[in-house]
Amino acid sequence: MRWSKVKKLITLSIILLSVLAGAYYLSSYLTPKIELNALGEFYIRNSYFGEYSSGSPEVVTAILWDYRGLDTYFETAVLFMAIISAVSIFRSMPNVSFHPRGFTNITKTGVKIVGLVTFVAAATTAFHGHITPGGGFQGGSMLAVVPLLVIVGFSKKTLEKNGFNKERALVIRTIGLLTIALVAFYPAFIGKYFMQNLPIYPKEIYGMLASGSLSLFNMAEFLAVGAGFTIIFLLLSNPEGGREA
Amino acid sequence: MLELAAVFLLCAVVLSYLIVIETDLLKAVAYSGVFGGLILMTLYVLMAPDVILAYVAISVGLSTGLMVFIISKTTRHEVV
Repeated sequence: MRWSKVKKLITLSIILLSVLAGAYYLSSYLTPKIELNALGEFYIRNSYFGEYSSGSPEVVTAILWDYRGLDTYFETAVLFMAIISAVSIFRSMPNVSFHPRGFTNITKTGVKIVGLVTFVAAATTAFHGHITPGGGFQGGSMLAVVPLLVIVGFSKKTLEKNGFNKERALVIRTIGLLTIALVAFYPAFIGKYFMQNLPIYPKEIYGMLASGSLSLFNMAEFLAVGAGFTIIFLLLSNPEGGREA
Repeated sequence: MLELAAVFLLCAVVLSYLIVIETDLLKAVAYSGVFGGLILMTLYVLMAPDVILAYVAISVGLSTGLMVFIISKTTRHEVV
């Protein structure tokens, strides 16, 4: 064994031993909590049944888009600003023509199958976000994996030839963000509170649980996040000086 | 069950050390994907499915892809 490898092993064992020693030392001070605190109990009791219900059995989504909805609203705004700044940095990029090669047919077939499954899983995660674990952001980030797979397996040109170019992704993202803003501001316009959920939006539509504005927010965030990440990948996969991508 | 989470986190410590000292950047990105997988299993043990669903797409899919794109625009080996 070479000396450099021995040195790495010694460093690693020192790190592991110090982590273990620190955990052992701290474990006497940190005792596990048995009961919920008052705020957590409030959320769990109220999210579906209680007096301050948000109409959703999925407590995390209820907190994200209803009880602490303002936080999520501005988090979406931060994502909006980040992607807009990325687009404006890349705005003067020249459009280089290139001949895409992609991978072999084995990889391409695999990408087709995995892409379809990922798309369905992403849509299920987002549209069921108010009933089962998941939600708009989770579904959107899963959706963004599909164009990434297509760019890597086929090429950027394939994605653009099939009608999913940067401008269209921007349009989809803007539709999503506008829906979020409209759904959030509509209660304020009719004299209720900003981002208010239940008495204004219906809890059930034709017997299906819609949880008021939660499902609308989830769908809009799904579009906005998925298209937003896709824009970043389309920009980054731009070939430079005729290099293939 | 909590002991399992501790084991995963210890493996994550080992992987983070590997990520830091690795000079082949593509290998470091692959290690960070495995690191994400270990954190995922920890979160699964701690029963946080909402976090997992976002983390699996971002850490294993998006962040790895982004890093590979960025490495393709620079050199593959880190020059010390």
